Amino acid sequence: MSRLSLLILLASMLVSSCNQPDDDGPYVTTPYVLQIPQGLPPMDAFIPIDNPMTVEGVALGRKLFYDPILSGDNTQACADCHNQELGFGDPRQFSEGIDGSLGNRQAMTLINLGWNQFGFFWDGTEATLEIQALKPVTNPIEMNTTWPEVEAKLNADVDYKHLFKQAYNVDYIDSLTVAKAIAQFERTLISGNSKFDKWYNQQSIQLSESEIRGFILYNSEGADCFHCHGLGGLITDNRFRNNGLDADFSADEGRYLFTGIDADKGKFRTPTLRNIFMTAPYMHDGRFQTLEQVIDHYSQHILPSATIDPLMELVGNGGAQLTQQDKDDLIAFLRTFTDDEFLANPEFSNPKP
Amino acid sequence: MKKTLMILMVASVALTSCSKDGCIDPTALNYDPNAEQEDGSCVYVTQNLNFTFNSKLGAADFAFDTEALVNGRKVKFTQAQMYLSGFAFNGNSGQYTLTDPHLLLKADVSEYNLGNLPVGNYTTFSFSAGVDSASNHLDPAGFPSSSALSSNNPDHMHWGWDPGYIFFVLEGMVDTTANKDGAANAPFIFHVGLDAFRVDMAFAKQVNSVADGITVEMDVDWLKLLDGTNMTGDVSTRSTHTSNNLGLASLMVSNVDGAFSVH
Repeated sequence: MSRLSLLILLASMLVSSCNQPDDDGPYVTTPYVLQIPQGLPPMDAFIPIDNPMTVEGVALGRKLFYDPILSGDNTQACADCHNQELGFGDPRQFSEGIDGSLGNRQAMTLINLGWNQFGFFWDGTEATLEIQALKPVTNPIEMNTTWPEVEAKLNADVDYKHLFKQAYNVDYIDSLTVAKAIAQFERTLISGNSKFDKWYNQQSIQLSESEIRGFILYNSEGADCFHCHGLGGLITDNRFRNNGLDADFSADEGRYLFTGIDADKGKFRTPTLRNIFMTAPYMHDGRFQTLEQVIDHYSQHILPSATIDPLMELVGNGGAQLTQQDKDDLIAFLRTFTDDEFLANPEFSNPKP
Repeated sequence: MKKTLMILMVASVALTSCSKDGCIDPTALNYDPNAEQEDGSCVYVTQNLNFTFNSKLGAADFAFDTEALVNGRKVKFTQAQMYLSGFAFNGNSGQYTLTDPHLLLKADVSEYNLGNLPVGNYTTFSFSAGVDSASNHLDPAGFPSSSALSSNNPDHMHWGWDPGYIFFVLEGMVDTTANKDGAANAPFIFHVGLDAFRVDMAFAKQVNSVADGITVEMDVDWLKLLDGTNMTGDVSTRSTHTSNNLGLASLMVSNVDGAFSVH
């Protein structure tokens, strides 16, 4: 018995020493410690155990995020439709794929995604950031390629071979590891230092009178934003709701297309309002160009339907009937969610000079 | 060395037998029939405590997006949940209060684990609808992610509202026609909070310890919470966020106790 275990021990030592690459040294990663701003909860519970945050993984994910190697003709990177200065959103109503094809939903922003527990995309179809990251690569109207093609390109690249070895200790780069690295980078995209945060969470500055009036409207039944968007943390509940944009959903049935449940017709994710002033156009189909149009919708134009969210409780009158002063104040307040530090954070930008 | 240890042991045994202090609770593992005075040394076997809440719409089982009648009006729920807190069990060995006191009762979930309860014989138990006043004013981002009160709990009911958590939420659609013969297509919203609106409830129930855990089974009739309402075209008859419509909130609160019963 003891001779056998000795053999096993020797064999395992042999195997592990085979894993040691000649040039990369031992596999050692540096833990990446997320800096969670005041007002946001810990993220630890939502980080998959098979993809812990590492400095190497985040750096690799960032490089991939900005690299058009992931697209069919090497012209398009994630960042082409997710622009940091615009809250990682796309100013176009519908993003354009490598072949010029248009989608039918607006590109989502990438802000505080690490806390989302309700699946990704407007309809929640993808359960995790890792799975989500696989999708745009093969979507014919986006990057329009196949994973075997992308894997071949990455495995032929000496830099990537080295970086994946460092971050994940793999000799062959596969799609799941690419997605893991991108997900790690996305988890670092934390916004929590806006003017609003400095006022509400850090209590280090004052808001103007107009902003305060807007806050009161936001956080009361006046304009009633807070029921879905909350206050203080994510500025979204990440839930799926029908906010009364349409009475007929034939153009896009929303979450119903994923779940097949009638009650989900016309429901889309509540987006975060962090950096909202920078992330036009608005709604799942980018129908509104300005915050004025968005507020006009909630004020006057909410449409009844079978799946309207009960929180649209004033649907009977079309909405909250805000005055022009209310609307101006509300927009002034919404602009306090702009986090300049996030939008210009050098750690989120293209790592290539 | 060995000798010293021996002496110490003998001395400690001698000391113990001299004083008549010990565990005087017969349900404890280390119950000492000779002890006369409790010294706080009792060690208990604990058991897993589970609650089953059978959610109802009157006599029927609860279901979302399903019609039921309130005061003759069709209603359909889209949301129904409530914080319960301060679970305590009373019996011949005194009162035991559970350490993690908050539970978020959801109408579409029936099984809840409340952690460990010492083995014993209990005759009554109690809990409150709502959040205890201390927790009610803490930052929801500060609770551990496993807590029902954590902002990481996907169903938490804290929206940055100053007075604290919402204790219970009922949302759905109601028929508001005068003749009560229309469709359930107008929203109703009941969001009730405030420290003063916490409802303490007590129930008589023999709970005897068994080795492999106990389950307390209760019924919760969510329709009862709407007793006394008459929801019409006037939004104030079918919407309260507590402070903006205290009358309607109070009516809901007065219905809470009657909505819970031991199965």
